[in-house]
Amino acid sequence: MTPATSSPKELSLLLEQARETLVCQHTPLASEELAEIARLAQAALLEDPARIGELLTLAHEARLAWCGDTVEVEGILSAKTGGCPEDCHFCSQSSRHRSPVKATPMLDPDAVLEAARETAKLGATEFCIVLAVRGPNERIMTKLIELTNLVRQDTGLNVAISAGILTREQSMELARAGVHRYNHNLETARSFFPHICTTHTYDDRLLTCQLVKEAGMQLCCGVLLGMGETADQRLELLEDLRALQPEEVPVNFLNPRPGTPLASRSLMSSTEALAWVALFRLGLPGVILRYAGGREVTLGELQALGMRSGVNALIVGNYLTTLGRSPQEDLAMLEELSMPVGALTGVL
Amino acid sequence: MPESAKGPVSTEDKAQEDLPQGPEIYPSFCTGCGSPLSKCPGCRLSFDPPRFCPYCGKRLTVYVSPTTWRARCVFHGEIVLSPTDL
Repeated sequence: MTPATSSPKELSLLLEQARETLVCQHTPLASEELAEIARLAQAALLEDPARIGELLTLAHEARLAWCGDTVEVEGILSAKTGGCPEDCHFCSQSSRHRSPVKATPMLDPDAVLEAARETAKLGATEFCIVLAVRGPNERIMTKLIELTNLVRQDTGLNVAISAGILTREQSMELARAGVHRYNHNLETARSFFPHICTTHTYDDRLLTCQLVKEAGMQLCCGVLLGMGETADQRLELLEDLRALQPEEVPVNFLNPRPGTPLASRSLMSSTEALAWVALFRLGLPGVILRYAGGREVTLGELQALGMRSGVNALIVGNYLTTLGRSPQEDLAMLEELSMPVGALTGVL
Repeated sequence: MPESAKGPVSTEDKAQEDLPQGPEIYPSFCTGCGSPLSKCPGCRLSFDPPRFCPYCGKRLTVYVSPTTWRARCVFHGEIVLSPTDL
């Protein structure tokens, strides 16, 4: 992205035009328009971060126009922790990093069900079972299908699964078993991916995402910002997501983990994080845009502002290996914002 | 039974013998990195569960769910931290 200065009027005018397209005409923005908004927003971040206020406001308007005011709440559980053979540089669960996270075998069904029940009691509608694996073998597939049935029947929650790279047969099997949504993040741009992971490729991830959609499951495909990618690379990733059309995009912010190659990176600034949440909303107006990992440490007191900057879903409570804000604080935040909790099924 | 007939001492039993004995043991290891508190004043971040036992510095088995977490040491059992523990 060419570094530039920008006048407040330039960005205002562009956002006004984008409002006409997105909110009034209910039409997605063209790639060139999105790129220009991103360029001016990046300039504003450098010159005067307060100028991104208009961008955040438009993102909130777009969210309301395309998705309504409902917030989808999800609980996630690491059902198999650590010992992952992949080398994703941000991840504390890789066996290739000297991480303090101790590997544990797959949880028994009672423990998974207990976590699902905790999630249901919070008013959540989605429960995601996550495994630190390259992909599921036959034994894991059997367990995942068993757990899907158990959680659905006992709690009524929609079950999402994140278990790595899938084959076509595996994606069909999970769809038949009633898995509502399958998570497989692209994480970062194709051009930056080799800097982040060497044990599998961007195309490996993209193929699994495509197989999930072909099998009829909803696709949850997220991003991880703040790993050292450029603004152009974030736009590159956003364009790939626009082409892929996932139902959900979790937005993670890098939380540098001890023992990983990215341990010494600084946190993303909160204003930059909010600006990019808003840009992702403008680029994907109808998507479920979920607050995910790193939210608390990156945004701190500005988390509520993110809910008015394009976010319409969140992970409640703890994450896979790190702790989150208390669910009560999050639910109180949503009540103060007058945002009802419920399931999101698509564009209005 | 003579000592020689009892068979070899297991690694865990030997480690158990080396641990401080008696009814009171005090946290003396950082739960973030496992270093003795004489070398690390405490580096665990507020959004991290303990990863190392405060009593012996060994890595803990940690379970995190949406609303709770539990940490277990192979020697000291379930670890319960007070708000001031490092």
